[in-house]
Amino acid sequence: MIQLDDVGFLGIDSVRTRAYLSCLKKSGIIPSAAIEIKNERANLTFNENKFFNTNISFQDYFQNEAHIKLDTSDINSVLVENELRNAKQKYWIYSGPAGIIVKNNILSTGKDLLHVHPGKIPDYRGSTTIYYSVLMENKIYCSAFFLAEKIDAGDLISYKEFEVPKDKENIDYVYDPFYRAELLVEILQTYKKIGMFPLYKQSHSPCDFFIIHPVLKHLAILRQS
Amino acid sequence: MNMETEYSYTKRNLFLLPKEHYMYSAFTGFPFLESYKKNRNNFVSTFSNKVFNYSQIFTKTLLQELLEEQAFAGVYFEKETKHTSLTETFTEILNRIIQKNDLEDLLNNQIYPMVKSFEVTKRLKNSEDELIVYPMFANLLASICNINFNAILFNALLKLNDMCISAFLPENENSEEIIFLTLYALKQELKIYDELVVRVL
Repeated sequence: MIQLDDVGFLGIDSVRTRAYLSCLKKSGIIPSAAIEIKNERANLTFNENKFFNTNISFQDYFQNEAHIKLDTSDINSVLVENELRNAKQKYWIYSGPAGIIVKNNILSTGKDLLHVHPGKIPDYRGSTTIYYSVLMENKIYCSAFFLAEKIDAGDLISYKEFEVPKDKENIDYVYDPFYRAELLVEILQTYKKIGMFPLYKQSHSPCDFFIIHPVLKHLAILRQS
Repeated sequence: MNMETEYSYTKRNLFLLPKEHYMYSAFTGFPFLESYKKNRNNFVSTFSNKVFNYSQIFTKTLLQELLEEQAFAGVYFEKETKHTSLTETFTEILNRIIQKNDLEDLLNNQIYPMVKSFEVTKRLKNSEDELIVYPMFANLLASICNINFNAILFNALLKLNDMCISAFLPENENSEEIIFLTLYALKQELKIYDELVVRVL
């Protein structure tokens, strides 16, 4: 395993986190620290799939001394803020709760939160963009950037187009987390190689996308290629 | 039809809490889309006889569409007696749409900020609890989508129409203007939906 001394992992136990940890493990990369916040959803279950191991958790992946589990489910909690401020890692892979905006107290800790978004930015900023890009273009992209105060507006690190699967009904719990994880691994491999994240300024986008209505979600999933 | 495939987003009054956020909606296939169309058509058949001028909507020929129809809806915008800043803004916007007066500027500076505010809060600002502003806004979004399909606007239109339908009860006294504007927004929504279905399915 290659340990990234300057990279940590911040998130909740979720299918996305498990996809990230599984793909990182498979690629032989391990961040040097992890901050876990509680997932308040009761009875977390993760169905198996052929792309990543859903049985891997923070405890399985990080050694005890590298893993801190905080007694909060709030990503913007002062507990998270303090841990980040005191951490030696500059970069933090972000896998927080869906739909929650990371506030300025966390963004101003001097640490950069690396987020992978399921859409090509700046064209597809906002929520559930994976479905919008399937609906509009029959394409799937992921983009990686550092979180900024404005939603999905941070400096772009990289983006990648992915194959649109036939079983699109599995996007939420399989392809969305898996594709994000694949891009994350590529970026960290590049970082390991060149020692930096190449950054590109985003251009302006007049409006974000919001949670897709179930009718449009059905049309996206049923869309013919 | 079982519960899983039934279109359930208008079953409770969406103006009451909790707000509907549509998060992680389940995929149940074509029966869901059939149920959605049935939901809209049921509303139309239940309420269409309650609006004096409603029959005129469907007697217009396709050649008379956009501008005339929007102007027709505009009559109802102007008829609204309880003018608020929001209804006045809507009337101004409608006039710009009819004149096709710099739609990009209109979108960026007026429509998108209002869509964002609606999507985040699921309410229209300064609406003073007036139901009529919701079908008014739905008609504005539909009118723009009819010129150029816009997924952000159509997404908000579906949610606005869910809200409007969810607030009506056949046994209640509902104003003719509100029913008309809701029916009109639904008619436009269904037209845009049908065109989208032809494109993607």
